[in-house]
Amino acid sequence: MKVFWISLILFSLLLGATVFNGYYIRKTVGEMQDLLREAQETERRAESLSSLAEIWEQSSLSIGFTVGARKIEEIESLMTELTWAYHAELEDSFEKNRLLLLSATEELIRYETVSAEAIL
Amino acid sequence: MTTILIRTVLIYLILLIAMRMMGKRQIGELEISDLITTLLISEIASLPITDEEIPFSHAVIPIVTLMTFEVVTSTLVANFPKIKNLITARPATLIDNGKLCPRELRKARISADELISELRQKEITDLDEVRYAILEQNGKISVISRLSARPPTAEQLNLTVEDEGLFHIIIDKGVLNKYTLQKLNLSKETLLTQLASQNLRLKDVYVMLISDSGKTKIIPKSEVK
Repeated sequence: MKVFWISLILFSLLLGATVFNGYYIRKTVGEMQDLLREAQETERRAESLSSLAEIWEQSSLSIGFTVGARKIEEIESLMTELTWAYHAELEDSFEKNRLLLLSATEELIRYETVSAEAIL
Repeated sequence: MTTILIRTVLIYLILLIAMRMMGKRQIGELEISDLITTLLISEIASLPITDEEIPFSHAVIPIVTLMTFEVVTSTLVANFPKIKNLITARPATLIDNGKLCPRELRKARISADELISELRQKEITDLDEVRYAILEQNGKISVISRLSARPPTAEQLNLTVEDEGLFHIIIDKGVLNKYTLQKLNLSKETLLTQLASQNLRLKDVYVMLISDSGKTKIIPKSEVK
């Protein structure tokens, strides 16, 4: 029975960690998406990009525990392109990368959302 | 590549712990659920080893989940007969009192050919020798021979045979097994004295065995190639 209870405790911890991880990713990525939407407005762009970079720097490691390296690299690459487009004042490129980044972050949220569609 | 190496070591350790917790059931051939769990775990464990893109957690989470479900299922099956009947197949009697049971054979989808082949593998060529043949839950067939077909026991021949009991390893490559020493109620000094009487020290012994009845067998390192 000792093994039974140890297994249940381990599973409960794992379940708790998984649920928390899902919540954390949805919350963090949600904040990133809000900043990406704000970045559409030229006046708030610099501040939004700065906050975006800060959030990503703080959370990319923890997000990387459950998200594949390829996805993380994709997001990092898009953020670099976005920042470059901003500094180079290339509006079209900026908008394109902004939308791509929104789409990529949307996928992250989808991975962590429990739904019948996701399960099937 | 270093990542793959480290992941392999970590997954190996996790599997070791998981298999240890699931117990001997996974190593021996037992229930259907055990087989499924073992197959799944082996497939899942290999994924992050061979593909760096897959996060490590994608192996740990399923392995721990499967391990938990396996332990919980086996505990419920062991303690609640109704659940046991739901999850595990009942043993099927294929030969009952020397008579073939075609209905059970059909249900188990075993042909008479296959059954006779199994009996042959147990060195039984004559069906008349078999009293019972039972298809166990793990898929193996147990065969119980008729009394007349079994070799006689010492008791039946009125022979007195000394029962040595189990032999336990008490020294293994010069290292004393304190657990066995305690279990057999022996003292280290007695053991060392016994070794000294044969001009041996602890480190000179490759293996020493003691039976429940006190009989000893010593293999010194000098006798081992």
